[in-house]
Amino acid sequence: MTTVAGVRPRGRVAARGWPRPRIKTLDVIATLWLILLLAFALIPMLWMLSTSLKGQFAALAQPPEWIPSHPTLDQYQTLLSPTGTVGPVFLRYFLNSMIVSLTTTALGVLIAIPAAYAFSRFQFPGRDVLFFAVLVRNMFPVVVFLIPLFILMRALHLVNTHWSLILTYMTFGLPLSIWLLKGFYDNIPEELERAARIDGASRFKAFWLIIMPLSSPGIIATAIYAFIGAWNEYVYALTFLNSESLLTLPVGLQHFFTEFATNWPGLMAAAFIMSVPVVVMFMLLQKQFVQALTEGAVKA
Amino acid sequence: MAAVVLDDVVKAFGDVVAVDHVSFTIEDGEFIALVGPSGCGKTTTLNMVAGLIELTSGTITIGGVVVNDLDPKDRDIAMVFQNYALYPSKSVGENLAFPLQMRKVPRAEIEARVKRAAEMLSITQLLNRRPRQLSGGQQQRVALGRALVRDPKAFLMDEPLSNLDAMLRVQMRTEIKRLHQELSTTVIYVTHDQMEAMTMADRIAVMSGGVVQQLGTPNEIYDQPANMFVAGFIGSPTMNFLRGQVGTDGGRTVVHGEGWELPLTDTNSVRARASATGEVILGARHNTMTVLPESAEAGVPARIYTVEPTGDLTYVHLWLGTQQLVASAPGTFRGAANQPIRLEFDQARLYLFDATTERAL
Repeated sequence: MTTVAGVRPRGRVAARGWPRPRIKTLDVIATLWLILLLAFALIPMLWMLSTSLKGQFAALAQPPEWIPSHPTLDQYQTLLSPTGTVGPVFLRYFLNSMIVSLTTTALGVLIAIPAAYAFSRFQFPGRDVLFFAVLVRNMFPVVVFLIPLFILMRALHLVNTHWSLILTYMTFGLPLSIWLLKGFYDNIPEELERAARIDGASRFKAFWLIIMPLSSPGIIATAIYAFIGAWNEYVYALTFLNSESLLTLPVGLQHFFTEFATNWPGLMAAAFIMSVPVVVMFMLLQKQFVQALTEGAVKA
Repeated sequence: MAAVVLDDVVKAFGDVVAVDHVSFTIEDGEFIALVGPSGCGKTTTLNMVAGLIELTSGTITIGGVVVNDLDPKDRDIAMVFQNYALYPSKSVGENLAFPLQMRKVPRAEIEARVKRAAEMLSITQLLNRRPRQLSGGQQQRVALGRALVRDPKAFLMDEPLSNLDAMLRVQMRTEIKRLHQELSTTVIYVTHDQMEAMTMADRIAVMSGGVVQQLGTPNEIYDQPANMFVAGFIGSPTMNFLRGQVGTDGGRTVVHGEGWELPLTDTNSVRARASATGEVILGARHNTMTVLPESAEAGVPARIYTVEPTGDLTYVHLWLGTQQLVASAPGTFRGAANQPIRLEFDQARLYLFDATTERAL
């Protein structure tokens, strides 16, 4: 056993024709590159976390304190306490963001699933044109639609409501969701549904009991995408909302902290709290997310 | 259990007619094979019986009920697919139970029936596994099991063995046939493999171009092919075809082609004369021709192209004039390339086809 296990990797390396040292060089380069990318992504996050734990003066100290000498959770307490002046407002923004993002995600997924399934399974007149049209929205910069959508929302009497944002965010997220999910459904053999229908399931039941569980990684991925898009969006939220009580986190934070003197640790603490839902979601669902993206890629 | 009747069934996809006025009856408990090359309409026909594809026109009756507008779930049939179509997210046991759950069978009975089907197919030890953990042969058994946990009116099988390796295929062929003998449920079996059709089916429908070319027992199909297509499709190696003109030579009727001439017996002469154009196609299976030494009296002169020993039989590829033929000889046969020989036809087993209509004469 040990001999076999010991021999095998060498055999594989030899079969591929890769001399051993070269693999090592490649490994080193790859590792360095990954460290670089990681640093690029992590250092701002860590800096944000570090600043959020400092006092007002320590935050502006020169040279900067990389690790706070007197770490404090004051800012978090202020932001998260439901009493006081700052806490309730911040929590309101947080709640608004949650409402808008979760509704956008839920509605988006609900629409994307049947749409993607139909594009994947049914032949109907105008199918290809429609499928292409779905993408047109994503061919223009987001800002181009700002004024038209504002006029549209005004006509619908939706300006200064959360619905204006939910509808808008869905127009960003849906095309990608539909494309991603269609790739998923394309990969699921049609025989599975046929078998289920012969086994006694209705078309809907066959979809619900057999196809849905198989496409759950895709659905999760599209949900994450939609959620993040809605959670982070700034320009539309700034334009469509003006009641203080309706603001979402990105706009809210900006209003909030420019009105008073710039409170860097407070701002950083708020930003950190804001990133928590997204990071947690990614960590929990990372596996499904990667599977979804790569499966879509194989089909395309 | 029920008879399945197809009456003037047509399926067109746009301008393409996939199934062209097909009518036949599958008796209760009968095992029928639909066989033909890919694109001949056999799978489309099966899918219409299953209710997965709508008919363009015609009617399909299962057990006396017209099922044209019934959903697959309401037709009370079971189907085995070429790629098995096992539900990947369910265990083997759950796969087997699914058709029963869908029909709201009580839990205790589901367990009993799953157990019985699993025992029948010797997959009891696999019930807790996932389909992806099974070998192809095991997946095939599970797919069969899922079909036979219920007591459907008919089993539909769409090339169920073609994803298996050759040895397993022969083994499963026997098992499916035995299962049919035990259950005596109507079976419609689609295959492109004429050998499967011949060995398993009570009757065979040979399809080509969306049309049933011939429907009959394996022996009828083999011995009395209705036309050149059936003659060429059934049997291996393929039947040899020789195109030639009907003529006379010294009072005898002969057929002559490029570089060869074959005198016909009286019976065959009458058949050859029935050709409207005077042109016929002769059909001879490999085992109805005898390779004789050059010095022999009987037969017509030919020349060896190559020799393929297979142990029991040796296939001798020959030139008859400009036509290449395959004849079989005993395993002891020896011959060299270009060696002249004589080839004798067993005229009682010679087929004649009209050169224009390709129908048997």
